[in-house]
Amino acid sequence: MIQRLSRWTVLLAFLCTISSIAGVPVGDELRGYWLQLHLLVASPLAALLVIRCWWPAVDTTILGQLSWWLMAIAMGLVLIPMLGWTSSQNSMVWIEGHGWLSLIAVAILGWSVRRKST
Amino acid sequence: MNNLPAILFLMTTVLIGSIGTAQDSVWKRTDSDDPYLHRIPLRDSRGEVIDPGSNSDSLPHLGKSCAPCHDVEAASGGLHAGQGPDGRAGEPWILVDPRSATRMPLHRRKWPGLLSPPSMDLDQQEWSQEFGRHDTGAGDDSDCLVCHLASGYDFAKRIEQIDSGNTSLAPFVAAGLVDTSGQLDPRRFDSTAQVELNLLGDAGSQACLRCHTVRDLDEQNDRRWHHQDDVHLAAGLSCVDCHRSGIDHHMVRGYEGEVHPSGTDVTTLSCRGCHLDEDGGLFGAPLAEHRGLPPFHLEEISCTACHAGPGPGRSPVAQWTSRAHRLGEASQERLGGIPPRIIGGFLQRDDQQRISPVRLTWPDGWGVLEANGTITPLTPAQLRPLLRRALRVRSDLVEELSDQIEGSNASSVLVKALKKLQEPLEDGREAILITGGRLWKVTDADELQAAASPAAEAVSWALSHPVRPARAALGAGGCNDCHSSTSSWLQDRIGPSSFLPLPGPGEIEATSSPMESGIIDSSRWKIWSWLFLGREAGKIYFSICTLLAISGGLLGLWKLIQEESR
Repeated sequence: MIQRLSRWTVLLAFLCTISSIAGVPVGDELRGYWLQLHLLVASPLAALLVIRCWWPAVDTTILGQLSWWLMAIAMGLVLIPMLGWTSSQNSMVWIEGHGWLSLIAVAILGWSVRRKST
Repeated sequence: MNNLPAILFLMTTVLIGSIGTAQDSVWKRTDSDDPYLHRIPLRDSRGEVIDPGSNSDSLPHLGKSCAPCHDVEAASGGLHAGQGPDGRAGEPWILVDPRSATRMPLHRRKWPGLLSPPSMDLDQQEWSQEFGRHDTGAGDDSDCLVCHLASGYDFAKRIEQIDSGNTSLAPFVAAGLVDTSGQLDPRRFDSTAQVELNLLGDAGSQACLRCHTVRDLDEQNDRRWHHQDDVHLAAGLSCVDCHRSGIDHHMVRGYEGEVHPSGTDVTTLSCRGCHLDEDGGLFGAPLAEHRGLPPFHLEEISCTACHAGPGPGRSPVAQWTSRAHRLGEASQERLGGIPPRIIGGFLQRDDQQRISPVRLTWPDGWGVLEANGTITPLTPAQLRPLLRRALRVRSDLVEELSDQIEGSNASSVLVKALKKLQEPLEDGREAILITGGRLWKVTDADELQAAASPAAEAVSWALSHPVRPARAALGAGGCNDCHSSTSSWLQDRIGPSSFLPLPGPGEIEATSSPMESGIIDSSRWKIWSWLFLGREAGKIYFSICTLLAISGGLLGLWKLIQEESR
């Protein structure tokens, strides 16, 4: 069960990354249909992330666990503007922080999978 | 002798410098913040002081009375005199002629969709007669007092005088210095033949509101005092605190991207410049934080869309403006439906592609469709005799024809009028009517036929006041102020109406909402509205997930590191 959920988590994290490409250029903000898709994918991913962090798969490495933990922190960063804890102009700092930390987390995840397979 | 060019250059420089100093010193200044009490003699058109005790029949001249101390030539230019760049489209003047049902927006500036004064055969004198009541830059004789006399200026008397052609005397009559026959009021003069006038550089917002008042006409015809709602006035600012100018009277209009003719950087005098600049705006203006608002909203939406457009739960509304509806003139005939019809609070994309609120009006009038497709408007003077003969109209076309047709379709009477207008036209030229957002002409079967035409489209100009504070702005109630099915202002259909009932389809086709006209992406907006139903729950959900995931992830990471170290 945990293993199957783990695969779903990876898939949704991948979809979240794909749907955020429009917001990758510095200063650009994800908006419109891409943002709607990103939010739709991120909603179940948030719950799966909790499960993945609390009940890691048997073969989880430190790098793998680190990547999920960074993804959780990235989710926390985007909550700052979402909850109105910063001004609209400063929101970009938090949103970009969310984006770059998530991308780093996905990259670490990919690296850990590559290391495990070799 | 080798030094001669250098000596000549030095002498020329000193001479030019001294001339400059002398010119500066011509104009009197107190250089104090304390207002100067003007106790001055009145002068006639030759610049001679008028003695109210003498039997001279000299009439006072405002320019000559101010000229000894002020650069009247420079002061009579500027924005209100039509100088400087045209810039963003502003409110047009609307030529209203009841006898021909003409309501044509026009302006001396080249703004989209507006006719020029010459195209309506309006020379300077006729322009002053028609619009001088509210146009301070209309004639050769600028009225300094209408803007600078802080108390005792009777604007209704100004309108009376200008309507009767007494343009040069209007300021003196309005200020109570002269009676309507041109006789000086001796009680206003002291023993040295001087009058005391409370003239100020900033005579307060009421001086501006004489020509810039806007009133809402809501369903109950509640004509409340519109400008009291402006947060800046309520906070104690006056109009000229932002709409500044020097003696050249090039008033800052205050929109983003404005290029001031003086070359001065006026960025801080726009909404964003004052409220979004981290360095701070004027008078310690509050820095707008817009907490919780995704930043792209500030790129996509103008400040006025939320702070001056339709408020939460409100729709675009019919409005009166000073200039279009002769506000300031005491009248018992200014009823809700009087032309021109102006709708305030509709949303459009501005020149920076931001969603912005505008006021709209639609032209009504008659013209000639030329063989090359251009339209030549017919002036009221050209129309009156023809329409009188064709339709027996004496004073008010709409009122008199409404009685004839008793609410039914007006096609037959308008066909009759158009055929009369067609009579003197050569082949290839067609008489046309513009009303209801459509161009109408007569077919061979003597029926009215509607067609779309740019000449019949709405004319719009930015709506910037009154500005509402953050707590009364759109969005103060949360995202659902816009992203929900209750935000009706996005879906309200606004369109033209013909001055007489005409076949329906033309009117309906010309009617649209910001959604339908593509100003807002309706399908994207609908998805957002659906998503925002669960926004508050979503915030709680993501917060809980984040806390659990971070703590769980940290715990798992610690365990793995411990296992690894064993």
